[in-house]
Amino acid sequence: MTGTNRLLFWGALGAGALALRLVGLGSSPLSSSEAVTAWPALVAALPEGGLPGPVPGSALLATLQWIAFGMLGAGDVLARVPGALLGAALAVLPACLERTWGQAPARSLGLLLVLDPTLLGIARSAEGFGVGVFLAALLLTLLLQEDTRLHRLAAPVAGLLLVSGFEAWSLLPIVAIAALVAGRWRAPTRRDQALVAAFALLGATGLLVVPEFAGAVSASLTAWLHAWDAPSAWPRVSALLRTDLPVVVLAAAGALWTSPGRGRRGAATLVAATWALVAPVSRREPEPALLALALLPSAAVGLAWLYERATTGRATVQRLALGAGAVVTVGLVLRAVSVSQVAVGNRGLARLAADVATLSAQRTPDRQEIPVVVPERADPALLWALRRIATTTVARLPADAAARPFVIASREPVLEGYFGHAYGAEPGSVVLWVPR
Amino acid sequence: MTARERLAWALLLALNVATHFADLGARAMGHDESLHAFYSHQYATTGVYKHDPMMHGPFLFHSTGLVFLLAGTNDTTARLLPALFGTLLVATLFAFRRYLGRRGAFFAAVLASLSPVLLVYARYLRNDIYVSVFTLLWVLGLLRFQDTRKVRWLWLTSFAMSISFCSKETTFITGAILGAWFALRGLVRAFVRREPFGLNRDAEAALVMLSLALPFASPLVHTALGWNPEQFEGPLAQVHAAAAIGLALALGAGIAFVGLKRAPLGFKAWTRLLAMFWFLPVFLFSALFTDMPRGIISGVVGSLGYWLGQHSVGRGSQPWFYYAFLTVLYEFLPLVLASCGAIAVLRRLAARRLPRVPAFLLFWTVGAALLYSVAGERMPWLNDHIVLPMTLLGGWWLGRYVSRVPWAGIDRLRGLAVFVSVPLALLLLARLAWLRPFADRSLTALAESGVFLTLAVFLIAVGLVARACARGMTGRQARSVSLLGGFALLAVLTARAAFTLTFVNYDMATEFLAYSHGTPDVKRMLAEVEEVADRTGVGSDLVVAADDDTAWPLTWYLRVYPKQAFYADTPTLEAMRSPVVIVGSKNLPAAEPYLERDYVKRDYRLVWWPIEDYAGIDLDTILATLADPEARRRVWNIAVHRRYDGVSLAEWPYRHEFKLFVRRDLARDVWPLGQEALAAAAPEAQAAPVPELRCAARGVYEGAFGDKPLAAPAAVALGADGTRWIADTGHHRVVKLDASGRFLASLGSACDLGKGAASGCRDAEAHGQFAEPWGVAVGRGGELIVADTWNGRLQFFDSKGAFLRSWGRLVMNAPLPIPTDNLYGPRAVASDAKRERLFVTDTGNKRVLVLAPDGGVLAELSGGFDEPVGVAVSPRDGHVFVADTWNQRIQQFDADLEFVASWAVPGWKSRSLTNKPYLAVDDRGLVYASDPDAGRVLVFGPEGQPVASLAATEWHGADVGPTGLALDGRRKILLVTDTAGNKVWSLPQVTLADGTATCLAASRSGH
Repeated sequence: MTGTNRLLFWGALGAGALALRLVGLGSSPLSSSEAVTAWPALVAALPEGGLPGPVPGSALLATLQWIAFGMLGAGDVLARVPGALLGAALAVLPACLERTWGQAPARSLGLLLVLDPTLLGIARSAEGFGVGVFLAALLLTLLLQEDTRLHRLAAPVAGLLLVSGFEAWSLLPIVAIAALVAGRWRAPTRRDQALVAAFALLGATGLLVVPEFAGAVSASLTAWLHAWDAPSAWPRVSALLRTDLPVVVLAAAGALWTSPGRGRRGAATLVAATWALVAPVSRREPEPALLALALLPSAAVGLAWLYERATTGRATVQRLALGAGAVVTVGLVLRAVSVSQVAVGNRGLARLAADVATLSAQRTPDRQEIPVVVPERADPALLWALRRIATTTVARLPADAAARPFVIASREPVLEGYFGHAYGAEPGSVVLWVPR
Repeated sequence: MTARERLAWALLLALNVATHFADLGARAMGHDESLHAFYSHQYATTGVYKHDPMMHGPFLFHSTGLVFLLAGTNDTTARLLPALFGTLLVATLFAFRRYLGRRGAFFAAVLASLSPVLLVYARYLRNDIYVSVFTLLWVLGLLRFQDTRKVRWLWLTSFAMSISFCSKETTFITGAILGAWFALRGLVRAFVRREPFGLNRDAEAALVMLSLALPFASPLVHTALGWNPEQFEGPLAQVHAAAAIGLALALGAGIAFVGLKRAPLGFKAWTRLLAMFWFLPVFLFSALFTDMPRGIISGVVGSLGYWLGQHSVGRGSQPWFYYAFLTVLYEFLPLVLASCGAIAVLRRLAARRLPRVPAFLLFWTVGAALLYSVAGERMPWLNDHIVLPMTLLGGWWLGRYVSRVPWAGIDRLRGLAVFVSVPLALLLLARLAWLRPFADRSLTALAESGVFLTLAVFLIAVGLVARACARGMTGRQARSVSLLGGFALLAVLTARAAFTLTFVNYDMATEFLAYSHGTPDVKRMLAEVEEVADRTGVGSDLVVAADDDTAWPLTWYLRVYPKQAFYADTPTLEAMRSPVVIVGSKNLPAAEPYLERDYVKRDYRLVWWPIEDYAGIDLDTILATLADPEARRRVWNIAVHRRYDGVSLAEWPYRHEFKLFVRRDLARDVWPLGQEALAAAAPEAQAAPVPELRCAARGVYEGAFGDKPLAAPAAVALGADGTRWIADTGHHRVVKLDASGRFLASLGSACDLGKGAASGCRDAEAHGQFAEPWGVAVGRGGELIVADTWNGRLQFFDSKGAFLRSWGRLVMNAPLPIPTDNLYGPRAVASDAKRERLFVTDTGNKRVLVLAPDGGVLAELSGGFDEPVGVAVSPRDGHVFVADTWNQRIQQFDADLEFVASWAVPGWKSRSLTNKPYLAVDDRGLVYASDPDAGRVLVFGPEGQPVASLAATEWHGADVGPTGLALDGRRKILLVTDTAGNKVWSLPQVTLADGTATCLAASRSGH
């Protein structure tokens, strides 16, 4: 394949990955797990601060979001863009593996990384997981390069990976072991160590300007360690099969092909096998997402095997391989499209915020200036939804309701002189109390 | 050109396409923008355009009108051409690589792309971005002509000048600057260097510009001779214009002939240039030759003439440093780089190595800044013309600087560390400056102290790392890399300012460039009006009433509702009954009384302006601000975040407000969130089913009365002696019967005052003649009052029928406020003899007047009536009841005329012109209301509760139209006129026993 064709293939793959990750990115509001990082980032970017939020889920993502919000203003799309862009970049990373892995497995992996429903879901969400996955893959890719000059870039990436959040603690040992197995491990120099520290510091502290984000590093490590004490639910195979059946099938094919005596690409086989074996046990209670991720390299090898059969085997085998490849690809595409349309956030909260803005415009008449009271330790998704209301405060209820602001609380107690509108049918749903 | 360079330009242009064309329609139109858009739309739809210097040159209207024709009319298409020109401006800089250097031209293009001022006004339907592009082409043509001496470059210059004059009058300032530069250089060449004139390219360029454009200076001739350069019409104006333009043309030709005779260009080529130069202005100012010669006079004479007149007006009232203030607030990077460029040029000037193009750019920048600051009108969009040369000068300097940095030997990683250390340190300092460490021992304060210390440590660490990394570099290398790091931060901040201004705060007056701009409320209000239109199913047929106070930008937006009821500053009845009424703050006192009861009101901001505290700034204020931490913080928040502490956006001090009134019945349907506001107004109660009651008639008045029977009798009234006065409406007379129904007399005959003698009027006054009398009442002393409905007056007679006086006159659709004696079809009249006053329902004018017996107006009932017809006064307590027909309700007022209650009438659904309901009230408080369509009389209890649907047993199956009502208390009967059967019925009154209605027995003889 010529250089132009290669460029075209990876360009098209990147464009497809971008489209799948960016289209309709703001169609659903941020969920609580997304807002836990976005809200502190926004508070740091706002001139007047805001109601204090929790410790961010990912220090690095908070830094990226802080830059984005400070530069361009806050929004659901903007909160998710860093993850989406890195998700698209992840899909074209295997381009760097063509020389070491061979063209077919690298491109198969690229295709899988674009279409894999689990990765797509991760990339479209404003959580640190997507950032961590990209950095882990980038780190591994850099370590697998034959050009040792590229190994220098591994240190900054490792530094950033360290502060990318909860999943980083699962991903780091996987990358380390995979690199070790692939024979790419080397002792870090002092320069490497300095770079790791510098980039970890920059990434964890909002380019040094927001040291408050750094709390996320210790918080995520604590949470990860405590996760080992949680009751074991591994393996969550049914969840995995539900989301990623085509990948499982391909991974099985890859395992067949790399069985003793058949494997021809040692590095690819080793890395794929190591990843597949280590990743699931790197946490006591592995997420289906992590399991799927673990299977991806093997699945790529499987896809490449199918490709080889479809091009070089006997006619019957060719047809079978083509059919299987088509079924798997169609399955992946369908799952990818459906995942890209999944709404993750609480639409009720978005509607509540819109109603507050409308009522604010009716009464003040600006959309941002109605006084709103939220409960202490409010859901960050609620605070995020109300981010444009400049006069949101926290108060104990119902005593502070005497000033007659809008009050966001639960169904009980009923506030005297107010009428309430619930956002959600369940008993615990939030209620907007509007003074009569 | 390398592949990398091509890629860089391609990416930059792609970025410009994105930033210029994305989300063009989101922003509401500003005041001027809406004028430009609306008149372009008018031009596109009607083909009529007349140049008006107040709205600048015709190019915008011709080009935007064409876009509307091709791509439709909306906010986005209105801004398509400016966006295209904004992108072209960046692309045009590619042609300046020869003069700015390859890097310099690219950096200039980057600066133009980042510039908030250039970007925002390239997404705005104004002429400034057009002029900027034409100016660049103009300059390019001049520079290329100087280099090549090829006439084709003068063609470009001539075209660019010509179309720039057709775009905006700022071209005079540009021309003055460019002309002055080339003239000065020409003089230096001629008199200092003693160069032969044939080689004096500068003088040649200056002469060409001057001689071509001289006729545009003809208003100066007007002024010198005492003529009026703002007068474009009439023979005198034409003679003056022809003389002045002719003189200027002759002078220009003379200059060209003498000056260019020995130049390579020659006079013949100049004449061709002249023809080309003047074709466009003649073509465009005259609206494609349809507005001759007015358009040409207004364009050639009026353009400069009008704006010279505006100089003393000083519109905008901005301080002399306005542009400097805006540049500091928005154009961080262009300002710093242009300043560096200026220093570099001056240093080379001092060394007598004056670079031609950079020196010209400096002259242009300084000239523009001075001239625009001196000009009386200072507006934010004019800053375009100062920023444009700044970007060129800044780009040139940066390109030169980057080329001269000794990059060799710089370690990439160390260089990167030094590069980022400057912005990092500046960011850290910016955060440190606003922390208040060691304030107290509260947890919050301790945390803040901790952050302070951490940041301080970081700052020191950054400094140490930068120093360590700079060790391997020369001093010059380290300085250059650090400086570039600082520029990178400024670039990021400039880009942030541009993005925030263009895509986040585009319609917020917290941005100093959003001047006289439509607020976000405009689009919100339009969405609500659209919802009314959609939900009522009328779509664009919705009648929207609007006034002159909200004309701009709403005239542009309301074009989609062609059935507009424009009422300027005089609320008309039609406008005040429209489903949607828009009222500006100026007209609110006049319009609100007509709307406050039956309409739901919303407050909006129409247009707003930035706060102009800076206007009074001086050195003392600056020092005081620097010394006060709170003041510093306030200024920082405004300058960086565009936040005004303690200033409410709802109560923004520089705003123009308006209100949207939506008829309550519509608002209830379309504003779900407005329910609680609507509930507070408590409209009519839900009507309950009415029990039917049929009674045998006591009698009926029918047959001939005088020479003819009754015809559609609409009303009846009783005198104190039992006399029956019947308005025989169809025969335009009043019939008098005694208590037993015997005919006594007939008053009046037909006369429609509007038709005069042809309709039977005896004279101009026609006293005692009627046009469909719909109401009668008996007042004090047995005086008879007749509502002479279609003559629009009341006529008063004594008890014997002799004419006494008349009051009122017929005026239909009078503008509001309606004079009290203008009546429009008065239907009913009722007398409150005890309080000596009369009540008249002025039905067409939707009001109820309270009159003194002699006809003077005492008051007007405030009820928000729609087709008020029947009116009655309770003999028990003097309460007044009005049949508010088309609102399907009866309204009750106390004797002091204060509103008491209203209740729904389960009928009155028809909007018939002839079936009108009348009222009567008995001494027990029962209210009788006729319902002609349903052939019944509704009876309500004293609290408004329906107690009976009364009908005579004789009415069963008959065609009856019960209309006028009168009660005979002595005989306990109810007289009912029957407009369908041409009779008057005598029915028993109703009594209530345990809440059940029954028919009363007659107490005396007679009916």
